[in-house]
Amino acid sequence: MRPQTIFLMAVFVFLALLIAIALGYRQEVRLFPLMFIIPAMVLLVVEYWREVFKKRKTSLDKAEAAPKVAAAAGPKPSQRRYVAVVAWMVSFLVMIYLLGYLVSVPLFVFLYTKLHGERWLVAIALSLGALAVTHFGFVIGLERMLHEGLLFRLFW
Amino acid sequence: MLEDIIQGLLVIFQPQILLFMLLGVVIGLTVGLIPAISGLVGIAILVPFTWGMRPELALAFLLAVHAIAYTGGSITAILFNIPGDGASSAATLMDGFPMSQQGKAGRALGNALMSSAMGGVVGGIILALLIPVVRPVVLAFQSPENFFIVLVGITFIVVLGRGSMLKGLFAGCLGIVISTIGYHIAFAIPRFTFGATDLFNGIGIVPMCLGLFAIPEVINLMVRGGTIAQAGMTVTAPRADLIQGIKDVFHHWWLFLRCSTIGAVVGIVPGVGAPVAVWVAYGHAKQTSKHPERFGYGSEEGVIAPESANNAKEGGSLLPTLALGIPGSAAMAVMLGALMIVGITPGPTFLKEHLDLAFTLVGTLIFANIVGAGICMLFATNLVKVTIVRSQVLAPLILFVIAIGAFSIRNNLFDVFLSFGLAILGWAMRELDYPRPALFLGFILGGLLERYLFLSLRVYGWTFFNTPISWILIAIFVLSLSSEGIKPLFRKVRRKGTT
Repeated sequence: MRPQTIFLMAVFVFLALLIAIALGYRQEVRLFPLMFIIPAMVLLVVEYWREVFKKRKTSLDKAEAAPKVAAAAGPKPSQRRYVAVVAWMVSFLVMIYLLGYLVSVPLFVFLYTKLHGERWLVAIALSLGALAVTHFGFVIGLERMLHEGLLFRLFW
Repeated sequence: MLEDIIQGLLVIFQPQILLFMLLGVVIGLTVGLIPAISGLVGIAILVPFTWGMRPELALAFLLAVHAIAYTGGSITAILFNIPGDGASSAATLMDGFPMSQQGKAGRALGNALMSSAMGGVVGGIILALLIPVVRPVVLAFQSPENFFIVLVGITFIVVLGRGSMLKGLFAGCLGIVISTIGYHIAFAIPRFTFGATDLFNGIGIVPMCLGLFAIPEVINLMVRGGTIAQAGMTVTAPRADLIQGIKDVFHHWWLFLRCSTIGAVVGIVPGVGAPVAVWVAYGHAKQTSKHPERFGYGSEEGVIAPESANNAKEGGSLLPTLALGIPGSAAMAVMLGALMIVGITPGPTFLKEHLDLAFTLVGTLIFANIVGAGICMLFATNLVKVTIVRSQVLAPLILFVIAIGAFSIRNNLFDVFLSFGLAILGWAMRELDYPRPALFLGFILGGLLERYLFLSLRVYGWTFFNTPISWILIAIFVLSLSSEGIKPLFRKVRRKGTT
């Protein structure tokens, strides 16, 4: 299934769910959301139909056009690269939740830069710099209270 | 009114405001030099940190960042043939890079930096002159007119923006729907919160901003890898050449004035944005030049024209943003969000209640452009070293700033997770070519739209649209939507007629 189709179907389900919920509200409360949910769903169906129609129309020329299009666009990053990036982001969020900002920020910066081929000195310097910016810039300078980390809260 | 104008302009000379403007200029230049991080993304990342600042401080800082990002972008366009700020610097590299290749990089930089500085000043002056003219018009707006002007504003950015109108309309509607999450404005009934108490006050502007604009660009940086400029590229820009480039702008002063005016006027039209302003100015310069054959091969006029328009358009795009609450560009949509964060509602009431702040922004535009160009002229060849920073260094640094920014608004980790969750939507829209500014605009104006609708229905009933201004706005709304549908039909009819 094409990514466009998956996206449209996911949004359609979300909007259908919102309609079902909105019907339980009083009239003044549901009026405005429904004014835009319904047109959004109509536009979504039209866009989906256009996608399907475009797919059928272009499939005949696809074999001829594909090499030229691919050459013009340049090499596409592999699926693995996307998965790796998502994994890094999720890991960063988990680290923040468990360890707090003051530990997870330098740790993440160090791990990411080191595992992507930077030298030890650069990785350590960047992570210390990030820690300094976080602590002196945000905590002390801008007086922002940062999340301490669940593990530290439970065991400290 | 004169008192407000003077007060607003004097504010920019306060030490704290000067300091933050200077900081904004430096950040804006750096952001502009890095193609992966446009001025729009730069202010999206910085918006969370303006929470708690005085409105004039926050807005001066953000406007300085945004206004100067274009200046920074022209440096990489000239030196490396890489448009630093996306489409807005693309016209500059047409003649800027050939000039670099001919050994005239310094002259091209002088052309660009002086045109940018003076173009920004002209844009600010045009804005200052138009505010008093627009003010009596907006004073006539009540809640029905406000409802339709907001609707027209959302439609404009959809119709006139890039890409398919259908996708734009869909994105705008989706943004408005998302804005309804949270308590109803009058009845305090939570809508679409799915039981999450953190959503009772709705989705914040900051998580939406970061999720839609900032995080997808970091993902792109992480996936793409590499450096922006090729390693080993050397750059020289002798001071004498810079000065010659500055003199060229005065030599072509009439071209400069015309293109600045084009930029400012195009900037006023919501949703049109930078690409149109710079290419219209470039095309005009070529058509009116005594040597059009030199364009594309290293003509100074080919650098002066787009650079003047590029910075002047910011003054123009601020006018509908402040006066009508209709952002002139995607970045102005984020500025709208910033205005709301600092507690100011843009739109017709803004010029009634915050005229002094409007002129503070005029002063900021002028000051930031002059100082930004000055810094560039002193440090141009050193600043470009930012472009050889590797993505594996840049990405985690930007990501941690985003993560702190998302948390710091409400000291709530939920906002951080929400930002990254919304980044899935932002990333999908980026890859599938759905206009994110349209969704963001629908999101930030959706609340206003509902408020004006609610008030109009309460005060005037279902015939609230029956006022002269409302009818004009409805006509504009219908015409702007139907024009995109009618154009292909006209083309078909014309083709049938000629065969």
